[in-house]
Amino acid sequence: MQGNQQAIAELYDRHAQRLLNYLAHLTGDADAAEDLVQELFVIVWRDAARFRGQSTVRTWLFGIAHHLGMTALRRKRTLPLDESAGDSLADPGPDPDALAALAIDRERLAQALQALPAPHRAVVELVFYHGLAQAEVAQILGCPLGTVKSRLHYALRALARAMREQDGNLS
Amino acid sequence: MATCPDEIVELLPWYVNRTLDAAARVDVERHLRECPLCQQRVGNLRALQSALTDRPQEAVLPHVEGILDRLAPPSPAKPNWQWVWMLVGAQARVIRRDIWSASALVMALGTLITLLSYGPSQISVGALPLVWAAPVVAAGGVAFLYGSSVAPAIEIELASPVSPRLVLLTRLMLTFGFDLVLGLAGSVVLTLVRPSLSLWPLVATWLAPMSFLSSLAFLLTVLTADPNVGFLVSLGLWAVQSTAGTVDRSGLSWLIPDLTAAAARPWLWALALLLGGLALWTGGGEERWIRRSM
Repeated sequence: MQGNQQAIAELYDRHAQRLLNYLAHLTGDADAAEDLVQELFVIVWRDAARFRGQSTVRTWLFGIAHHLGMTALRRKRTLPLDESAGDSLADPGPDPDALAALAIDRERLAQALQALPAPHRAVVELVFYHGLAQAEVAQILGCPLGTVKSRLHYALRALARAMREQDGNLS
Repeated sequence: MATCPDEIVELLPWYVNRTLDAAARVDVERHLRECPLCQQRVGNLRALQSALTDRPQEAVLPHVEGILDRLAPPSPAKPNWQWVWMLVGAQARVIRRDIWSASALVMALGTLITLLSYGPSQISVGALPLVWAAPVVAAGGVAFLYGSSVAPAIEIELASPVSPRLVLLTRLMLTFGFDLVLGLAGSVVLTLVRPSLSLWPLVATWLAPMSFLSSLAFLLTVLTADPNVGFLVSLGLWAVQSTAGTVDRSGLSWLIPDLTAAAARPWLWALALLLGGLALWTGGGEERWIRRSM
């Protein structure tokens, strides 16, 4: 049997929109995200035999999307080569509870998210936007669960600080 | 804040996105009932989640036809050995790992018992423990090659340019090939230690029933979608053979033919090819049926 385009179209219908959203939010570039989604499905078509069955299809697709997104960011030289570089950032200050005091303004939130290191932004997107479980996030990012938790901790603190600073600048 | 256990605070994001397992969720909820600070944290995280999910869609999903146009049809011209190797490697990882170890263990035991029990009084090669172990081991391994337990990736498999029948055939060849190598290794050891045994007659005695029983087990698994049926029926058939081997066959030969006899081999080979082919044909069709139902 030859390649089954019908099957890949079904796979596309099922997952492409979420992958596009993830890539758009990760890269901050909607146009680039569209290209990356196309590239992703060409990779799936070509390399499906590499799928090891050790994760769900969704996790596998998100893992490829994450890799493509991070590679695209590196090409734009907006990201250090070592993806774990952001893990050793100094504690950015306020507790995530500081989010409590701030009404979350979407535009400011988007700016604060883009100011995060990409690996930290990825965790926030995967947990809160895509609603993925701990183990899924760790599989997609290819890192231990402890790293996922610490990235999320730093990301939430950095978001709170960034939004508080913006609040101060505006006042 | 100091009284909040770190392990609970770390779970709050996944409590908010509702992906915690039941036990963790109970732990978090027990703490939340007593902790106003964590209740506030959950409220904050929900506000963040709400703000993120309410963002407008900025990117436009490319039309699927644009992607399909980029998918070059796979070239059948000449085999790409790297691709073949990749397929074999991927399927080797999908097959249940305990099949490999169980097969090796039973075959090693069969060889060992044959070595210990074989003596000058042994007159029939067909009665050697190795000859009885090899077909059962292969049938057991092959029976567990098909079904949802070995196809967690069915959605991906269907989207790939690889035929479902080729995927099944690869799994079949891998498992049967592994058992074949084990059987050959056991036979070589036996003929080296017991020079009175000849290699080819010994191999021929177990290889034909092994092929037949494997094909039968595989077909039954495919037809019933239950590996246990394939394995247990083939095991039962072989057990009847084993029992019949201990009694006088003269009156039973028409009812229970001796599958280790040389005269049975052409029939066993033919049946093995027929049943195996039927299983592959049916199995590939079944997987297409799964796709339609997805």
